[in-house]
Amino acid sequence: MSNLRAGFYFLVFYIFSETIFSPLAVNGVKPDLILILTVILSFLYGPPRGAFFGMIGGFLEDLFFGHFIGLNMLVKMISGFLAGVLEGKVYPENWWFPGIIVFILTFIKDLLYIVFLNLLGINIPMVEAVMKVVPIEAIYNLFLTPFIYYFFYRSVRRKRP
Amino acid sequence: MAKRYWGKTLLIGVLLTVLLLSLARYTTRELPFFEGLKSGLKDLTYPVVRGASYLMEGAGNITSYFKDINALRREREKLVQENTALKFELNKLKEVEQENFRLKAMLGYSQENPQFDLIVSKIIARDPANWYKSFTLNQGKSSGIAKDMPVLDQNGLIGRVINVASLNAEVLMITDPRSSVAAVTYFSRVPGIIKGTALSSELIMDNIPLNLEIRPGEMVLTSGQGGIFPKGIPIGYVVSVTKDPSGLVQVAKVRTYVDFDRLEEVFILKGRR
Repeated sequence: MSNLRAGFYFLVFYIFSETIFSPLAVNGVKPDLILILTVILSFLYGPPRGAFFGMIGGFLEDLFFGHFIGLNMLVKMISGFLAGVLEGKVYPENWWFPGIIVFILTFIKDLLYIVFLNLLGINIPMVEAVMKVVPIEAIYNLFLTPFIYYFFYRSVRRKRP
Repeated sequence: MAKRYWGKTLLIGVLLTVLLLSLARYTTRELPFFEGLKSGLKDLTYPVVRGASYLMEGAGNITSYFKDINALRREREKLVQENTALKFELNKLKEVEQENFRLKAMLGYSQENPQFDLIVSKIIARDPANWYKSFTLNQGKSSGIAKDMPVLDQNGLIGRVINVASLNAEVLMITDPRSSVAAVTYFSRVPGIIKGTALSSELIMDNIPLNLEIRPGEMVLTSGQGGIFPKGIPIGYVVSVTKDPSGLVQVAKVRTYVDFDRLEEVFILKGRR
């Protein structure tokens, strides 16, 4: 997948998440479509490209709504790299597996993000966030991932003999 | 070979982390370049965002069409009752207002009676991140919206405009951890600073002096200090009061009157008429 195409997918996913998925928040918690897409692409293309895809997705988030340019880029880059490490180690036919990675990476990504925000002077109560927000987001992401993965896996398989 | 690969990866990772954190630190300040870039991007994607939000609205209307008719009937009866009680209350208040005018005139007391211009606007997009609380409106500079204008609904304060593009505007909600509003309690007139926590409908009222008593259930309003929000806009009510870990001030938990998760339309306070 070309970087331009990946950028286009990230933009579409970003618009979906701010318009379609925001009103569908569960207890005020929204899914992270950019993380889901980063993990799926990293799982299919490996760590270096995964980290780069994460940077593209994070940069878009930072530009549109973020106030700290670079923060989402950094967190999504780390998530992409970690997910990419599993490329080739697990059969991509396991449609449920990316969901599990997304579930775990949601915790890592949010913890990193809260730590970085606190470093930048934005205080978010860590315990309350971990108890009230992160588990709901992780479960929401877990259920959405297989549907999105199916679409991308099919398009990649069609291109690779 | 593998050792060298991981060593190189680690080095690049550390360098990128330092670089991106420095960039994030640098952009904590409001930079006109990024503000302009953000406004431009928002204007560029506006038609798609508006279309998607229109579709969502349509889907919502279809589900509400099939809403239980009995529930609607019950709701109507309740509203009629409430309306009658409110009309009665309003008449009483009008009399009090007239009396107030008369007494003020007798005392030679003149005070400006502010009348505000309100712009009604629709929410077309929300910040997808769970740690920020902001949304985008379907109107911008072309409708007379400017930065720092207060945003509210019939229940109380919502936030302020932080970024304006020509066709849309971004609003920072008071529940966002970057927001702070000067506030005062209604009965005991205890001052404090309202801060967001990023957790829906919960706010923190900080910097309350130790010697002042604040009771749960008390209403919290904007105090008018700071120059952005006018005085007297309801924010929420006190849920609990605790001592700050430093032991120097008190901190109150405040629940908002506005249901931030269900907002669809808001009012922007344009200015005094």
